[in-house]
Amino acid sequence: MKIESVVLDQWYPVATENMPVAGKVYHTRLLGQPIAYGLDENAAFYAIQRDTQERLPVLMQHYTYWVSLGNPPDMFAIPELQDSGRRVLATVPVCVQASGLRVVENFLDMAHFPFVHDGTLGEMPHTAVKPYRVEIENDEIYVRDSEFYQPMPAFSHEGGMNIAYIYRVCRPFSALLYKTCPLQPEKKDLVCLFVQPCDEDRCIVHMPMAYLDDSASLEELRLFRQSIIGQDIAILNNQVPRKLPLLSGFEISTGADASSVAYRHWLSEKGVCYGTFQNP
Amino acid sequence: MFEDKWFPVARADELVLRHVFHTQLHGVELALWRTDKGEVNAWENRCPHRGMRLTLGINTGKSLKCQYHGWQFHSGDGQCSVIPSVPDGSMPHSACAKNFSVAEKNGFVWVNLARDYLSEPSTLTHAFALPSSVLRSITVNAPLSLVQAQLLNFCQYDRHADKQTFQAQHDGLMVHVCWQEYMLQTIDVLFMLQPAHTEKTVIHAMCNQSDDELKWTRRINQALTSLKLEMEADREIREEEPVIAPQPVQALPRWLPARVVERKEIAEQVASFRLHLPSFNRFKGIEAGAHIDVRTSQGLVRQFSLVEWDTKAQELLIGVKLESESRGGSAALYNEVKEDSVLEISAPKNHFRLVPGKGGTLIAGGIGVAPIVAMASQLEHEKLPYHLHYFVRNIYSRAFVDQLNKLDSVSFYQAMQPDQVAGQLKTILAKVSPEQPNVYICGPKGLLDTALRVIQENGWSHIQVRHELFSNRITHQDEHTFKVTLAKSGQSYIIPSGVSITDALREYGVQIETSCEQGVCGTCYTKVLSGKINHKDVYLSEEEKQSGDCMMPCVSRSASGDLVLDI
Repeated sequence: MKIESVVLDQWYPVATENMPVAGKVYHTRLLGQPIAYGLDENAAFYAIQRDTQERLPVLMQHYTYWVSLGNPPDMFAIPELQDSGRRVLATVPVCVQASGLRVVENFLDMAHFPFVHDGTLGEMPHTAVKPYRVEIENDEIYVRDSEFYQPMPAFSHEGGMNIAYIYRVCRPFSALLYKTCPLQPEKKDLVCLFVQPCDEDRCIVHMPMAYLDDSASLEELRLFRQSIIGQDIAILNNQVPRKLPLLSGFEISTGADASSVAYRHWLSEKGVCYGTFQNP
Repeated sequence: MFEDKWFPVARADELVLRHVFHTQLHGVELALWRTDKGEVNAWENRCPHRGMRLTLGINTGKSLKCQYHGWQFHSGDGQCSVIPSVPDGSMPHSACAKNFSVAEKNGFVWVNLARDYLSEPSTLTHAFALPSSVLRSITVNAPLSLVQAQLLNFCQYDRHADKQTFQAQHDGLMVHVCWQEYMLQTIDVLFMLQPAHTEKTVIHAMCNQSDDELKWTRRINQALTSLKLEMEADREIREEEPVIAPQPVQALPRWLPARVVERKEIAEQVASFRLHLPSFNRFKGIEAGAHIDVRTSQGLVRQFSLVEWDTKAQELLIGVKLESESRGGSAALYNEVKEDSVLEISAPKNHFRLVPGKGGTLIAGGIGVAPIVAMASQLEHEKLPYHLHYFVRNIYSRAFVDQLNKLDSVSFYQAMQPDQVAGQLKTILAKVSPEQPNVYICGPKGLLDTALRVIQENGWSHIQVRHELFSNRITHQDEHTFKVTLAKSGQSYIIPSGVSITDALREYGVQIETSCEQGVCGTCYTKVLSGKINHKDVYLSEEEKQSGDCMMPCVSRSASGDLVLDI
């Protein structure tokens, strides 16, 4: 199938820095194409299209290895990842049986915290979502003034507190979350969501993170984030249809869904079709 | 899209207490569940919010709760009754699970995808007599036509079935086989076929040997398992995408004729109407707070809460107050409708509901007592804690006193000035605890606004207010009223203060499609030809708002003067 330029001409993650072992060849799938990648004998990252053996453009940035099947624009900047005071790590890659667009939308949603992440990111009866701001800047979506009461916002923090969230959607399949660092509340921890769309209804999620928290071990931070993703997968694998419906009215939104509505509207304006549900 | 036909989708005994059963018909995934009272529901297995499978939700005994955001959908019409992220109780009317007609008969649950839950299963007929013993069901990953053909050779899979006397016949969805067995009379086995998807069929087996069901279940099970394994051995089993079903045909028309059985003056300028509605007994799950739409002779549509109802007698009771500033609706009903008149009414709707399992503080003003007294009645019946506070102008304006006198926990407040009302509300709301945080209000807008203000001023964030506000109870304030003209018809309509454009137009019979009704989703997007717009939505971009040629009529209004809409 012919994939539209806004989706084809992009950088997509295939692995995070901590994953590939030099000399080993890895197989994966991107936009329906079989890909092979790895680190060669000089520890340089490479990727090839397996059917044509064509070498593909690659990039190493944001603790992640990126591949493109087209002509991608410049990679978006994340100044926080240059901050030496932060510890950068990533979870294991996670396969989700849903369109990558559904995964991004779930990432932007806070109303599910007291139900799906009960005891950590949310808790009954604190279910109300206060109104927040959604803005478009430089063709990216920013969600600000988003605040939620969390009983256990991070691995090392005992006791609940109000956590401020800022979301930034840089590309249709890439988003960032800046959340209040419990130990240094005036600064923000960073969680990245880089989605690799394998097919229209299946994807792999790579999540590098940059934490200011130095009281927990890397392993504890990784496991905390992985348990959160694990809870989300139970939902994401059970959304029908798997692809994201863009037509307003097909699924019902309320005030708390302003970020999801803005995301769908933004995708629609860009002409994104890959991974979207077209109502027959 | 689907044929108007009933299919078996589950054995009745599979719908156990508080369970949600997953099945599929023609590719449409279904969530089947039973309320504690025994009512069966067959809904599309997809939460209308973000598509989460409802079969992974929780059956609370009267509703299904989705695991993703905790939305709860009530039995019967599938209307959403709880949205936890929005605690003020405002509910988009479109928030409703897609429901299909369902019937329980002969030990099975039957579904017709072409009709909604109000359909009567009169079209349920069978080609063969149904044997009495329901045995088991088994899924085969093969198309129905192949499964049916294979079942005609059932004697190959059951080594005790006598091949000499074996007979088989079918009618498409049912395969009937029989044979003689030594020392027993004829064994009759019926296989009912459920087309779950194009390459998936469920076989439901029944037989006439009711004396030893366990033995026959095991025997048929063994034979069917061999059949299944043989059929699936050479097939590549593909995972098929679920089909999204179109909205089924509504069984009942929008307007139903109801005869006025009794009209009584029950308070100053308030008349009660007892209506008889044939087919009322088909409505499942009507709860306190429900209302009906009534269409007047001039075509105006007004909402009236059900004070009481009796589905067996097919009667319901509403109250109409003659509003001094009526735009014609209440006057027409109060003055013109007599006993034996026939009114056009809608099916009852449950947009204003009690939160299940909890008590509440109930506050009513004037005729707003109608849904509130129904709620108090229900809470008292369920032995949940409540208190009803009724604000009236004077003792002659108290409505539904007969019903109120049957309740244990009622307080009346009359002839209070606005600041006294505020003070009294403060006393009432100060007693609302976090364990029983629900407050239900129905009355004039001033009462609701005062209550919300008192809550906000005192920082009582634990209080969860649910309110019902019918536009015909709002007083007009001319400085905020404006006119809307629809370009295509040239008709103009007054939009009163406090009523959204879409709600006001709906009263006049002009439908603009809405979804969230909060200015978020974009469904009601309407082009504007002239007039200055006061944008209150979050959907349109800055450029779109500046251009002034479009708006979201579910929340936005006129900034000054009249608006002309391009519809």
